[in-house]
Amino acid sequence: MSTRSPRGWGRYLLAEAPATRLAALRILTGAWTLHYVWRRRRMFARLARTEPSLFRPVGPARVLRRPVSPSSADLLYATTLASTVAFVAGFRHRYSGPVYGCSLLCLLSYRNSWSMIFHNDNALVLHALTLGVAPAADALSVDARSAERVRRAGTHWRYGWPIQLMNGVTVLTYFLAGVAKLKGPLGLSWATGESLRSQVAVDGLRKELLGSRAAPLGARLYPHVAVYQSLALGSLALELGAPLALVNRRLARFWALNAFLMHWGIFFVMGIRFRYQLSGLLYAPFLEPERALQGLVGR
Amino acid sequence: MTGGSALIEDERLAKAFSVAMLAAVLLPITQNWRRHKRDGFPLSYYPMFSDRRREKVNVVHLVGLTADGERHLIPYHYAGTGGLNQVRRQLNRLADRGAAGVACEAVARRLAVDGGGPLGHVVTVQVVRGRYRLATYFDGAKEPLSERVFAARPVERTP
Repeated sequence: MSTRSPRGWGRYLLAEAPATRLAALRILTGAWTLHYVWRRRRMFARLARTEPSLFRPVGPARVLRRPVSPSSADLLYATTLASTVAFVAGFRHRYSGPVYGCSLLCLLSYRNSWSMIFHNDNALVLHALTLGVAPAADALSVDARSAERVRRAGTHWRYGWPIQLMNGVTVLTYFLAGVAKLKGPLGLSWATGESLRSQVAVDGLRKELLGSRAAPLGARLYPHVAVYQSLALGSLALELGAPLALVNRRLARFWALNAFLMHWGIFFVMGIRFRYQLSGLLYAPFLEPERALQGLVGR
Repeated sequence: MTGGSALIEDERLAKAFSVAMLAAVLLPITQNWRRHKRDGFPLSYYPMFSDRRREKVNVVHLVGLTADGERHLIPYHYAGTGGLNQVRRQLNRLADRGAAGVACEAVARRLAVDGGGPLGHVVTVQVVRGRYRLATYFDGAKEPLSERVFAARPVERTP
């Protein structure tokens, strides 16, 4: 392993971090996945038995011409669940980590192939793939009980690069969303707020007609296009300015806080739950989650 | 250092993986310049909220009719699993393919078994596409401007 100090973009990428930070991210992301996948166990089971003609494969599922058998889909679900448990525990991480990342990717691709692309899952999968191949179980894990691992775990670039990559992935996804708005049919006029207001209205209409509950705030704000204009301007600035979060830590935290609040705003106005974002876990790599975790354990 | 606690331990591999991942995430940006855009998972160009929405909107949904002709909206979960958007997409696909009867039958069967409250009096299930004007709808005029019925099935309850 090289010990020379990195230069240029390598300095960003190979920033040092404590092993416990990466381990805390493994535990938090894994626990979130476990909660997310377990709560949807009946949905995944029913999905595997849905009318085959509704299957429109996306992502890795595109290698399939038709749906797999229900028992194969059940096996994929069980593999994801088991590998997630091992991932959270940090048990045989060298093997369970990649299996966790890949099985989650396949499971959620398969799920999206029956309906629509749930964009809130994208970052979760990309973070899972990163943590799965990184040394995220050198601390706070079953693997870390061995003396050699304990000796190795400290502050090092090998624990920093996955965190930097997760943050890079996060800001790029927001940047892409901003570019898509500007390059979409409305261009810069998206910022007038008219389009956002219509999006909110269509979403509310669909929810009401399909027997769900539209967010009352969205309907109440419908006559006030100025409110939507300020929301549109704010979200565009946040999305297009996302790469600035990589410049320094203070800016990163400021951006992360605003992105987090934006998703709560979307929830209150539109009733749309970007679950991973609303939980705050998407932004945990910008922070020091090991402190919170150690605080919880030490309480 | 060799210990094998993870797949990626080497500096060059870490850099290569990071560059490859960032490039892969950024690559879908090219979709914005294509005539026929294609979204993907988990690599997306994130087109949500970027479409132009018209003042009049079509929505495929479920309607239940009582013997008196009273109209009730039937919640999406009678038609399938996986949340509102998933069921909505599936209803759209079935309606477009002329196969809305499949969903209609499934809903009628479920209503016959566990339809309670006002849905307990529903005798016919329809899959419809309603056309609505957003401004008037949110002003309180909830009736559709027009409506097309794709399929209708009776609810056969056993006494």
